[in-house]
Amino acid sequence: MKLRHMFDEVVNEPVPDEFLEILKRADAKASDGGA
Amino acid sequence: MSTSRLGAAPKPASADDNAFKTELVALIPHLRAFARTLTGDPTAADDLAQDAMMKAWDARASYQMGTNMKAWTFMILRNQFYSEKRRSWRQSQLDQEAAERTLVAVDDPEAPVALDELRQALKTLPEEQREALILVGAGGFAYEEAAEICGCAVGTVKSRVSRARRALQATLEKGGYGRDGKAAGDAMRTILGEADRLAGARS
Repeated sequence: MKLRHMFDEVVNEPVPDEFLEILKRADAKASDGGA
Repeated sequence: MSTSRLGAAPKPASADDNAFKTELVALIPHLRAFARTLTGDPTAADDLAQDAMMKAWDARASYQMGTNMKAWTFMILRNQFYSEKRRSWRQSQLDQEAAERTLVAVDDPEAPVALDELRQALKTLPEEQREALILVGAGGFAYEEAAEICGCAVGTVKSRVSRARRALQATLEKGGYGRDGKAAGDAMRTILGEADRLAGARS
């Protein structure tokens, strides 16, 4: 259970904005037909 | 992709793309956690998770919606980790500094020190045992799914998990993980200081 707790500590951290920004850029690129 | 639409309005994202993206975004915290256990370093882990996320995005056409995206993305992340490791052994080698940085990733100042000991003890396990134990014991994967992610037989995963549990228990009982000799209070102050630094860097 400690192992799960340790893993969940990271899962429960706020996701850095960088992740969503990268994905948003990739999505925009795909929508533009650049993928 | 055709270039005949140059000058046309941007193509709206397909429903599949949107569904894929929604599911992928929901998995980001899990990818970060798995990457953290593999690298032992929060910064390297986020780099790895971002690379895996983009590889998954680029390969979305090969993913069948409704199947297990978590296992699929974990497999991508794991393959990326070992691929990078082969390219640059020194960079991804787990060292004491990486272990220290793992400790400072604790956001909850009330987190029991025992978890830090667990993190240290995990570092002493062979990689294949550590990843098997994390996937099954923390990631919530069935042995069959973990075997698919690791590219090995189910029996091998069971064996690795079993050996990892025994080794981890033995290490924790005898305290064989590399402690730095500092008191728990010192460690917590270090953690809080680093957390403040990270919080400042994010803002």
